[in-house]
Amino acid sequence: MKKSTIAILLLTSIFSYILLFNGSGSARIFVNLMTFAGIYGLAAIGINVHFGWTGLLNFGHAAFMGIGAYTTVLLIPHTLGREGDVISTGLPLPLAILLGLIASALLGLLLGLPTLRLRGDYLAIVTIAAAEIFRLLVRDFEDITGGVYGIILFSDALQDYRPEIITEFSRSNGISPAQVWVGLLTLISIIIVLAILARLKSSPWGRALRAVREDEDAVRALGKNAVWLKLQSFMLGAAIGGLSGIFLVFNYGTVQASIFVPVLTFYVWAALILGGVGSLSGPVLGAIVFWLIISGTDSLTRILFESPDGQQLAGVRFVIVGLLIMLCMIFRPSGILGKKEELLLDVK
Amino acid sequence: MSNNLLSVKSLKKSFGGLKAVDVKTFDINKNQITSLIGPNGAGKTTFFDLITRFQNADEGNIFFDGVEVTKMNTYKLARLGMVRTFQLTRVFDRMSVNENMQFAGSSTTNEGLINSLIQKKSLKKEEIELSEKIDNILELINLKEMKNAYARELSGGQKKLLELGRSLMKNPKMLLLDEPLAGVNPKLADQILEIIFDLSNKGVNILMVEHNIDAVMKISERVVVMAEGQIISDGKPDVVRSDKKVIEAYLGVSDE
Repeated sequence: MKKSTIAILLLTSIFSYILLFNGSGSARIFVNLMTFAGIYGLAAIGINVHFGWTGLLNFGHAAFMGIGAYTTVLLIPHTLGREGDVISTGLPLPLAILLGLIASALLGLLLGLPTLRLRGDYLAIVTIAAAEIFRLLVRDFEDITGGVYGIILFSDALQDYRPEIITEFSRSNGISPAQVWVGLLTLISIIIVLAILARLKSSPWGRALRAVREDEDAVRALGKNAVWLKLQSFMLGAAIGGLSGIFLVFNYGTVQASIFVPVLTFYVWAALILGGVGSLSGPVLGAIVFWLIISGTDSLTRILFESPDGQQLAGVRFVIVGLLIMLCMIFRPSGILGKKEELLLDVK
Repeated sequence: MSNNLLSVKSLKKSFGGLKAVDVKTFDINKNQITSLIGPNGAGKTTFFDLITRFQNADEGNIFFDGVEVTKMNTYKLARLGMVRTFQLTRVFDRMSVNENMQFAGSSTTNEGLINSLIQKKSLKKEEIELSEKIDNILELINLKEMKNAYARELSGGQKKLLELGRSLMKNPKMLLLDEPLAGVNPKLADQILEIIFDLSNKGVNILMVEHNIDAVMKISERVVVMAEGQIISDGKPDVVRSDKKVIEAYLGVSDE
């Protein structure tokens, strides 16, 4: 079967599943699913640049998402949680987002400089550790970040840009206009990012990254600076991660350190592997499938248990995600949209 | 001294107690094919690695084309025109033959993130020029039909050819070939030798490590013999062939 056919079949069955089983609530569920899928998909695109294109193992994506989100939110009007200070002045949102992306890229530079000279697995360890250090620092600098209580009341900066038509449309369909707006902007960002990446993938730069992924020594022997190429890839992927982090916190309407736990990184990886490492739009499709499982397991769990509690729900979810990844590895190791010839799940 | 293309002075490298390389002087000064032979473990590949800066020497100096390169980055040295191949062939497996060649040939300016995004006319022009050059080289190494195949699909011998062709994209002043004939069938080996000979005629300096003594004696203008990290003999093939030290250390029974 052709890959595009598989993708269309999958999407159709996902959407009809939502419509069939949720009746009047389907619009709300659909928007929620697509918004989260879009945000995770965007994050997975970032890891794809690292891993799929360049062969860099980044297990600390949460930190890149987090630093982008915190930088942006702290630069616009916001309130620190639990009787915290109200900061009513700030930069215009587009500028704050731009600085957030730069902050993510700079964190990539900072982590990459000492580690990208080393072998793949060292980078994996350093990024996991760095992500945890980032999260713990954010939690402890309570004066700036609100600590465990986080930051609230900042999402107006984004919602002020919301066109009236979206508000009317959402209200008449019983869905949250704020979420529709975040979801829509995420979708637009994905399209822009994918368009840029499509151009880069076939360019000399994309080609050079793939060469680095295949064999760094050969790259050096041909007179190319492999470390610099890896750094560029690391910074670009980090910035894309930062963008997804920004949308993530605007979707929640709050930022707390607990959002950026290691499991966030692994969800994004799950989406990437399901969708297909190395392919352009694979991560987005993978994220939709992943979020369908996460949000759609409730009805399945109700069949299995009489009155499931939250813990049982969570358990069943991850059993299914795990099973699906296992099945994927057995029957389609390159993911839904990945190329068999470019199967990438090995690191030198 | 500065007339030499490559000049090595008292180069030393040890691994633990083992002296892997201990070369007092070694120069390459004119257009010729030089072969480096010696028993296994003689330090030939380590010597290669030291010259091309894939390993750091413990002591000594290396000059290439009048520049001291003892501490230079590997990739910068390659840009000066010293290009090598590897004992275990290193092609970019999950890229096509064409992409392997394109990558080797494209300029680092065009490989910048920003330039690749803007894609100025000069970048597109270079890609077209590259494709002509690639066609010529693929013709030379007989891989034209495989242009769009993934490199991993090539046979062992074809991979050797691709690696050689890829190096030619760099227009090297000096080409270091690490066992270009290893694991290659006799017919293809002859073809590779012919290509090497042609390159030498076109002004590329060749230094190669090779175990196929017949081929080495046939093609080389100079043969250097290493044993236990040191150069024990150096000269024209006939002279080296009859050198007692060499026969002891390596050739042994090769005399008819």
